[in-house]
Amino acid sequence: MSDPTPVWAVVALPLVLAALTYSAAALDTAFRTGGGPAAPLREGVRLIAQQRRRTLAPDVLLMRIGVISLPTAALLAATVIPLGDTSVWDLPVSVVWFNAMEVVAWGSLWLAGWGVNSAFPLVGGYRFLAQGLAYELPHMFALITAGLGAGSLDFGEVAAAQDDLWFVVWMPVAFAVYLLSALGMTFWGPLGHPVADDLAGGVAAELSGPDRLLFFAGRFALLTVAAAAAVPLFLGGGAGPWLPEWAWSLIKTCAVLALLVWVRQRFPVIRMDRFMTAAWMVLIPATLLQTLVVGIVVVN
Amino acid sequence: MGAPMGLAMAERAADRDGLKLDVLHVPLGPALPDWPAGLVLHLTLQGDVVQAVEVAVMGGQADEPSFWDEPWLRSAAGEQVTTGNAERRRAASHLDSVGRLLAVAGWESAADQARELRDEIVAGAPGSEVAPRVAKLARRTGKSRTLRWMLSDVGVVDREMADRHGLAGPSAHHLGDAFARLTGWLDEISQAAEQLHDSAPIQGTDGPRGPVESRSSARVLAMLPELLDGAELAAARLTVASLDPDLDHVAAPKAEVPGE
Repeated sequence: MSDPTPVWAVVALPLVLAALTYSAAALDTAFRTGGGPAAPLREGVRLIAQQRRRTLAPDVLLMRIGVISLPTAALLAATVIPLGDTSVWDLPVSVVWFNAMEVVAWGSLWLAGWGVNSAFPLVGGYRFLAQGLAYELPHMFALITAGLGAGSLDFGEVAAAQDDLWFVVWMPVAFAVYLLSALGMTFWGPLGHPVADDLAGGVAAELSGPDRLLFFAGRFALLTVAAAAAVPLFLGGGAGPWLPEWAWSLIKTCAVLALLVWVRQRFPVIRMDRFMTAAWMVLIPATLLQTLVVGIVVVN
Repeated sequence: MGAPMGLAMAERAADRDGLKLDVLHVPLGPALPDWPAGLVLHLTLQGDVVQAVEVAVMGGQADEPSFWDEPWLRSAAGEQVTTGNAERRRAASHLDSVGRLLAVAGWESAADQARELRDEIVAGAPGSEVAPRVAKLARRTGKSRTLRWMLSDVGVVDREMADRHGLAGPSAHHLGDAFARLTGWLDEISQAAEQLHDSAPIQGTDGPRGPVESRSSARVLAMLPELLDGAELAAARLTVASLDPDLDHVAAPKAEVPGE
């Protein structure tokens, strides 16, 4: 709460987020179809111009709230993530704010799946609730572990606490679980069952035109924000030789983002009726043990 | 309860756990991505659990016999067909099935790999070029622990069930779950890929889905209600994809087509 937020940061935030989000979409297209960097732009223009399809008796208001809240939550979460050591909103409990914003995705998917009044999107919504039950607790424990190591829930201070040793080195379990849950909250790749092709697109099956564009742009934005948050949490924030801090933040964010995008090529979709057991029997105990180890180190 | 917008509300019924849940009647098919085109499963769903299945086939008879069975049918009609040509068709047919199963399992990039291979094999690519890539695909998918984890215990067909329904072909040879059927296909593809240039005439009528005269896919369809009862919706789709019935085997008598 020291210096006032510089104006350039407020202007830069949506631009940087948009640029990274677009890069993620372009990278995904390149992996999947070998399309050029303009492919997501073409798809976006197509969706803006596309006429909306309507289902019978949809709850348009709920559906729109679900769709719009996805990119909105990503932008709001991004406000607390420091680029170098500057964040738009210098909140002392920024990790909690970040967590609260990503939980908005639960509401988004359920409202969008329910609102269109169609069976497959509804089932997709169910799937995401089950997925939330599987990933959210391990995710929170992973966040808490980083916070515990730094003795703070402020991204800036968590990053500053890693001057000697990055958290990823002595909290590898928490980092791995964080990445996994990042896939979960963005229903991406192996955790993309809520929007899987076996339901003809699941939650997104009946979304068309600008709704569909906002929904998927929101998902890429959320993926970007999840990658960006991993940098101050586990990868030493802006620390690095030669380059300025903001550049290191960006480079590390891009690296994590590229990893998350690539994972989609590597694994089939994971179904929650199988994964739930692993989440509760393996991931939660593993993260708790990790927290315990970190707690003991901190106390000593 | 009223009828919002003139629509009937879902009725409730006891589910398998003794709870009262909404019952939804949802058709799967006739057109879905990676679905045997023309097949319609009238599902009774509670949540995403399949409580009952009715199998139907959309009308529209095929003018020609199944593309995948063609070499064996020609041979049965007295034509000279080389083993190489027949095995080429078998490999392509199984790669088509594998691609569909992988796509339903949500592994788009592996599915694309299978489909590229299928297209090249149909187009006549030489075996020396195809065989190593088939081996690579078989390693990538057959050895994937995640895929095994997701496909094991899905749609289990045992010996008794296979005999009762008179199954033939890969689904009878590779008994067990969807993963067993996937590795069965992969093995048969690898074997076929080594015989692409065998110029001996084919013996017998054992096509990609069993003896071509036995209409084995019709028996797969007859087995579906029993197999899908109580399955989760995703497992039901994986089960159908792992059996991959060829609807060209099913000449639909007009009477079977519902409501048309």
